[in-house]
Amino acid sequence: MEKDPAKRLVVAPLLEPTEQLSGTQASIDVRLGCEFRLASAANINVLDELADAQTNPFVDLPRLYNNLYVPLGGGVTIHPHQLVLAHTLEYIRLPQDLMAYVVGRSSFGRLGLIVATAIGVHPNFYGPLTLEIRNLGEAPLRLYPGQTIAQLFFHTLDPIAEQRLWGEPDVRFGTFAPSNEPVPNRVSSKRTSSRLRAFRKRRDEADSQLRAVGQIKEAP
Amino acid sequence: METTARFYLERMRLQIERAKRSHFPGASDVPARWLAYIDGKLKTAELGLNGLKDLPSDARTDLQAEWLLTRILSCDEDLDVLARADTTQVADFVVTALMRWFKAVDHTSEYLFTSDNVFEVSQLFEDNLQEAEATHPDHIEAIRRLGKTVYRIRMPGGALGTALHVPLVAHEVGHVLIFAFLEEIESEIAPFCAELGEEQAEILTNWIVEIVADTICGFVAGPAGFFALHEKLRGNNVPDENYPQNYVRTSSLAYFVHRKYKSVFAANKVRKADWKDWAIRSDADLLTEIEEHSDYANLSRRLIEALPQIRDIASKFARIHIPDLEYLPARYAADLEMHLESFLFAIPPFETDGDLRSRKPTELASILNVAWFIAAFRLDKLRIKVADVADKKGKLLVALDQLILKAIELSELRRQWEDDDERPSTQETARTPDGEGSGKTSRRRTSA
Repeated sequence: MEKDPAKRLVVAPLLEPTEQLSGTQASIDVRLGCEFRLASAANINVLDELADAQTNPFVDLPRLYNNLYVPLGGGVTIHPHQLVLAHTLEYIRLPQDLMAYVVGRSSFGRLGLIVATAIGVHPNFYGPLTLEIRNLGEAPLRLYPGQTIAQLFFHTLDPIAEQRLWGEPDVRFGTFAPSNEPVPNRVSSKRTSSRLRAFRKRRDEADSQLRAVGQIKEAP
Repeated sequence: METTARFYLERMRLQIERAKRSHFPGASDVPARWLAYIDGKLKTAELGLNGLKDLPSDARTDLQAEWLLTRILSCDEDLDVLARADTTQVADFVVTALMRWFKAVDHTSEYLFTSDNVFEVSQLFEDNLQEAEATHPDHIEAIRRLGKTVYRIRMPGGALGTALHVPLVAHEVGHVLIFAFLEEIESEIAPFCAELGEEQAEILTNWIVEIVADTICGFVAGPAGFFALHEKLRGNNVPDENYPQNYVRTSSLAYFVHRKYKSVFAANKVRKADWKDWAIRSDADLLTEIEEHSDYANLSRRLIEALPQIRDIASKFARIHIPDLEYLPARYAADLEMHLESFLFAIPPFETDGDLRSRKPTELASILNVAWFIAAFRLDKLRIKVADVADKKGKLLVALDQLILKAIELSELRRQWEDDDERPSTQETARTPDGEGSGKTSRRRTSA
């Protein structure tokens, strides 16, 4: 084990180390945790990050999901085409020179279960990983906390490359950034969102002028 | 009156069905047995109502119907107990961890954890309070199945809950230990109340019991018990019949912790100045702060003068009855040695380090003490990125709180994984009640 905690890779607890760290594969198997967020479409109108909260009060993303904690022994059923957010059981902490990819296990893939659509995990990350799980199969699937559901592949990073890009060392090194709540509060950053709103406003104004001179017909 | 009683009988049954669909922590099947008890109580009431059916309506039957209605409506109060006992209010894994403390104290009793804005333990049910009116066999069986004594442990949960305050539950462990060996502890306390009138003796006994429970809190939860108590009791209250002044309690526990873990603090370079946020007073200072003209001046003086003896009595009492729960200085030193540096780099202490195949889950007291050491003395060294620099301390404490919860969760999951081969799961019984229970309101209660 790496003595320096800043440089240590943590994927723990490994409940069955010999099974999860098989010598024949280049990855670590991770298990399904106990935290779930289940989508309930009835709670929302439409997911539009630029929508005005006044006119579309249901745009609040967390309202889309119900929280569920399922202890070991319990289970969750995912119906065809349902999306579920879940945590890994393992706590992950990546040092500054490592990143990881999350890939679903093929045995689940063959049942139609897709795991992790946002698969990159950045250096200095800490916390459980959020898994986006979707059942693309034809039959409902029952999932149980503790099942090995995905794999982590690691890549070492060259900090010099980042330095070349920015021209200076990254100040984040040595400070760890937490995993986010599984349900995002927003899709884009504040800056991007604000820029996109400005574009939309300009376009709406232009449309309005064209409508005034009759070049755009009002919808019936 | 009978019509109203039948209406509420059905309404209560619907509420019981709704409560059965809640998820309760799997470590305790008390919720299931409690629901079965309420169900049994309703069945007894229904038998009573059926008996009235063929009788002529007169004053006597009206009185009987009214009494049955009161019994039915009392089920609402019984159900209310469970309203804050589900897993959205009290985390499943926190209950599992705390249950080990309480079972070590008294394994014959049962425990129900509920969320509230106070820390308090009270007896929900005692077997000597059997319901004489229980006539339905399900009701009688429910009382039998509920067990000897059920303690209701209240602690802040839901939005109010904080992992940093979990050590305070060890104070309630102290109270359960006192309940379990009441005569023994009362005989130790009696000499301090010599020459006092009955009322004054009762107040001093209550105060001493609080100091004993505080000391047991330090015995079980170590320095974390002191830090949590200090935060909870900040400010100077006016003493009352149940509690002495807060600073007497915090100073007493501080003395206990300083003396016991002195070498560990020294080895980890905790300087005198580092204690500035944890104001404590010596016994001599405490005596000078007594308000001479207050109603409780004499009792306060007696209590402060007796503090060293009371702490010794409490330690001896705990060592006899719960030796395995003692958080020893050697353990504190080992925990800080193993986990402190890693925790500062966002690796929470949920398992021992070393070879992957021989790691063990960390004990609750160890997690809480490493976390509180950081909160008290090393928060500025916590290597966690926070967005808002203006409120950095608050953000770091929230991050620390989440890491503590994650550590408790993962240590419990590892423990369950290793233990589960031999034991049948209790989770299903907790969620699909088929038992019965019986109920009474709290008789003895106390809080931190």
